[in-house]
Amino acid sequence: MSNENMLSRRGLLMKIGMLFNGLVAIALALPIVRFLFSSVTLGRGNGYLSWVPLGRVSEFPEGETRLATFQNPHVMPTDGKTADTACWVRRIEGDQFQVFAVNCAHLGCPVRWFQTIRFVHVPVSWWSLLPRWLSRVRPTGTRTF
Amino acid sequence: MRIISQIGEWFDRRLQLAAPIREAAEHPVPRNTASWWYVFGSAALTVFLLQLVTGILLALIYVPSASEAWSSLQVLNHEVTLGWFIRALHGWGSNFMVAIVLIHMVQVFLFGAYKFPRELTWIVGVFLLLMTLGMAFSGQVLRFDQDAYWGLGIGASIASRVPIAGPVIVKLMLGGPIIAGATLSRFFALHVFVIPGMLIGFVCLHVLMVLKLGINEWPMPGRLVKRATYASEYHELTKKAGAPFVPYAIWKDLFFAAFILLAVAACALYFGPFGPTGRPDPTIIQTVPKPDYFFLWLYALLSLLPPSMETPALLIGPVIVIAFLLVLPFLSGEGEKSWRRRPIAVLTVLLIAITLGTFTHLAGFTPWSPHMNAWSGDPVPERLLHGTTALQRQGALVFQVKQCRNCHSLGELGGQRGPALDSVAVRLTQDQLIRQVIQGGGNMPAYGKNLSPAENHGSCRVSRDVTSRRPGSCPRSRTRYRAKGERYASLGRFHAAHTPHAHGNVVVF
Repeated sequence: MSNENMLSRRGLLMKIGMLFNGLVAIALALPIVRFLFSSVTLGRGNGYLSWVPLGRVSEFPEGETRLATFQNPHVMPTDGKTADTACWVRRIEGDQFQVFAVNCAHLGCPVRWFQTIRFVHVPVSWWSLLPRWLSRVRPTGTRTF
Repeated sequence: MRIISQIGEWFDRRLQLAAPIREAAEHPVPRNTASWWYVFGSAALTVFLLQLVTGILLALIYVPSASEAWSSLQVLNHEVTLGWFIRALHGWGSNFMVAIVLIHMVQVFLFGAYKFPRELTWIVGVFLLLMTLGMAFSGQVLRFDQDAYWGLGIGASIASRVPIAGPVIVKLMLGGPIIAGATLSRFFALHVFVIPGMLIGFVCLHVLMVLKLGINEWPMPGRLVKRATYASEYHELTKKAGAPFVPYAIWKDLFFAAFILLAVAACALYFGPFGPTGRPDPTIIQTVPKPDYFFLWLYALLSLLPPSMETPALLIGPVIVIAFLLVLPFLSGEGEKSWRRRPIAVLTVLLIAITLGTFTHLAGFTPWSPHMNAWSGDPVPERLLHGTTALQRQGALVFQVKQCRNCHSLGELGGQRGPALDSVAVRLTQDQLIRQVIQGGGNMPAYGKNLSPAENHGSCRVSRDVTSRRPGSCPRSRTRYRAKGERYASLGRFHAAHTPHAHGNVVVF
């Protein structure tokens, strides 16, 4: 065996040093990656899916659609006004309600309900008016109670 | 002078930088590259430096908190001495940087500078463009006003369309399930640390490659790039017809850089800072969010795309475009450089420029969007009401109250989503007006359930009487329709063919 193929003591120490650094890097990377992805699981166990009151029943006349505002169940002290949000609530009759997301399912822009004409105006899409907006938003943004 | 020289020598003995800097400054460049066409790269670098300086200054005051950011911008605009000017410089610098980087890219493409051996310089340049756009977008988010809030919502909406990983991407992007404090902090870190750090690294790499490989020679028709001979040909060119970059070529860069800085300052002084618009309060929905100018074309495109095309265009389109830009030097790494012999390249640039320009122009006035406040903000023109009966005036009131005006204009005021109604009675009979209002059609919803018979009948009658009184117009009557059915049929075809929503006329008046 030639000397070139032999591992010197310093060479071995260098490789052990690299291995040691690699192990430390992995050990540090785990909490760093976990921290980075914490936003994915953030709020799951913090009442995020809890029920929120939107107001008294008398505030929602039958057959009308009203804007309701509420605070997100999961908020941070630095959220300011962004902790609040809104939704459209339609009281069909009696205790039957439909709740619509305030965002259009097209791009997420806010939509406006005009009570006098009983239509939703969508600001951005050329293609969307009331029927389509309803049909698109219903699967994810609408709840009937 | 002697003391300065001695201090300089003291530093250089330790830094050893004088020789490589002198070598870089005096590296030979082909004489014909000392052209005004070659100044955009250095101008982009100059504006980037301006952005760094003004960005640091703004960070002295700006508070990256969802509850304070908007107020801190108000403080900058109104309380801090010249705070508004620094904000304006930063905002306009951003616009100029995007524009100059794009122009630089077009120039490099048309001059064939992406070909061998500068493939990697081009690829790094593509990443620099993406980072510049990333800076522009994240900068708009830091403004944290209504446009920023809802614009970010649009960004999240686009990201959510990614199959399977969409929800995870959105939460990573927003720092949680909603746009809130964590979102702003995240974009602040991106805008101030992550992207600028990468930009500085990539800019250094880009400039290093320009210095090592040399500035692309002026493209001459018929002078083809060949891998085997290019290096020796370029070396020969700079040896025979070369000149040191400093001072032979740099003076134009210096002049143009100063001119651009002056232009940014002039825009900042004249137009002032961008926003902030209203507070980022999600419960205030009386807003129509719009991106800054460099993304307006995308805003228009997304508005006009049919639903079936949205997701493919949003997710696949950008990937194809970026991938094409990255592989371009490998697809066309040799051969002709001159734009005079590359008509497809020139036509491609023209087509893209015209397309982007048209979409940007359209996004400026968004004819597809209802004007939400037109019903209460734009009065019915007086000339249409002069000499009318009480019933007709009541019709005008119905027209406003029922918000027909949001989609239809009168006297060139109001929405443009539907056709203008100044002369609608020339086109439609009263029966047609009533039918259209009750049943809707085209892109117009049916108003049958929202108007009483009196409102509908009266208002349509008024519409016919009033709008037909315009000079040169002639009311279409039932009798006339019956008598000239053939002509009506041809008119109907004309409307259907030439006005996309002619069958969607709102005619309540």
